[in-house]
Amino acid sequence: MIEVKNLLVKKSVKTICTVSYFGVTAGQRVAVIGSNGSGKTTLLRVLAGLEKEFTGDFDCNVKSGRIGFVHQNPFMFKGSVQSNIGYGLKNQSETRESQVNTAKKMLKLFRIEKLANVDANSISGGERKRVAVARAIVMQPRLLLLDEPFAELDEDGIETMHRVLDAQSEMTIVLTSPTELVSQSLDQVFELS
Amino acid sequence: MQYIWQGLNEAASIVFRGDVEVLDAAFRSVWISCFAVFLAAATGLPLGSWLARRSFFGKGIVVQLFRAAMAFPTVFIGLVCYAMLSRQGPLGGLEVLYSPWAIVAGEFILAFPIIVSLSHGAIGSLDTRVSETARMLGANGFQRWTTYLSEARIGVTLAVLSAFARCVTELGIAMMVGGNLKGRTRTLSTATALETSQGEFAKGLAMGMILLFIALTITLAAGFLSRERKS
Repeated sequence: MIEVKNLLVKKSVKTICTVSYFGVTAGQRVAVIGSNGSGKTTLLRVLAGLEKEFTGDFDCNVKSGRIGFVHQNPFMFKGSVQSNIGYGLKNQSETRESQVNTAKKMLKLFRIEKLANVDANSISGGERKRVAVARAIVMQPRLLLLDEPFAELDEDGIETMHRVLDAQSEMTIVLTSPTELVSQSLDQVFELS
Repeated sequence: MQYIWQGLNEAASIVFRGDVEVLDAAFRSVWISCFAVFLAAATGLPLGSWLARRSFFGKGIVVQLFRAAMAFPTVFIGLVCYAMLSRQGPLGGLEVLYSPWAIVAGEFILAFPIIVSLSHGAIGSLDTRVSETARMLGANGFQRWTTYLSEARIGVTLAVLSAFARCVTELGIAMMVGGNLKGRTRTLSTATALETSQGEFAKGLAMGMILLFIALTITLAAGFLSRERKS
């Protein structure tokens, strides 16, 4: 599904990510771990197609429209949490009713129903993370890329996030995370040096 | 001081009496400026957004040129429009000189660089995650653009408001290509200048008060429309 060989990403003269080989097959759960500045985020951005300037071989057989990506510090659009979750569905011209119903299901799944009509830019970092992952899952991507999805989450948040991600059996998930938060349900742990 | 108070009293009476000549100039000023700003926004907002999101050789010069054009004196724009629209000019065949359409054309030239420059600034300062998030959530080019406008709505509204304020209060273009013809091309600003120069201070002041009222109303409306939603 994804194969990366001899990847090298440089910003001016500084090397920010090097990967000799990274491969993921469909349906796998993969964690990319490594110290700060090891290039975890950059690797995810390359996979998402957001980082264009790199050398090496990169092969991904997922269409760009079927890839979901969640930033380490997700951006919330102006408006309510519910409208943020429905943003992708609105782009697909789904009816207003469908957007609301799907958003409500997601809010329930992530145990944040009470935030439905709250301004998305006034919620905490952990809540923001849950909303961003919900917003990405709504699109039913084939490949879901999550940058530090457990950061800023409390115990309940981490447990909820694991439960929701484990339930997405159709998706291939690549996430970055500190080692101690890596779920046992992962198929592969890739360490960047 | 007595002179000014007396003028203000008479001006208030003219406004509340609903003087036809004054209302006619006010209505014309508003529709001409609205139409010119509408055209400038319809073309300037896409261009400003495009300049903000794209990189190309010479972009800095193009942006600087638009910024410089914001400071064009209205009398100079009026002069250029006059040269273009007069019988000997390249657009003389249109026969729009001394018509409201000539003022619309001039005010469009006045508003366009303001909207391009200010919307470029507002959209260019948006976080790069706006574009990335929208793209990853399936937004096409047009949907991303409307997202930029929504995220930068305060800056974009201010761009349109600034253009409207400049158009509705300008004198040079309306005088040069409109000709200040009574009942046809007379606007609030040209009428104010004319009445005052003819010694009709109260009437000039009445029109000035209407201009001020329009400016305040538009500012309040823009503030209301661009307000941040609270939870």
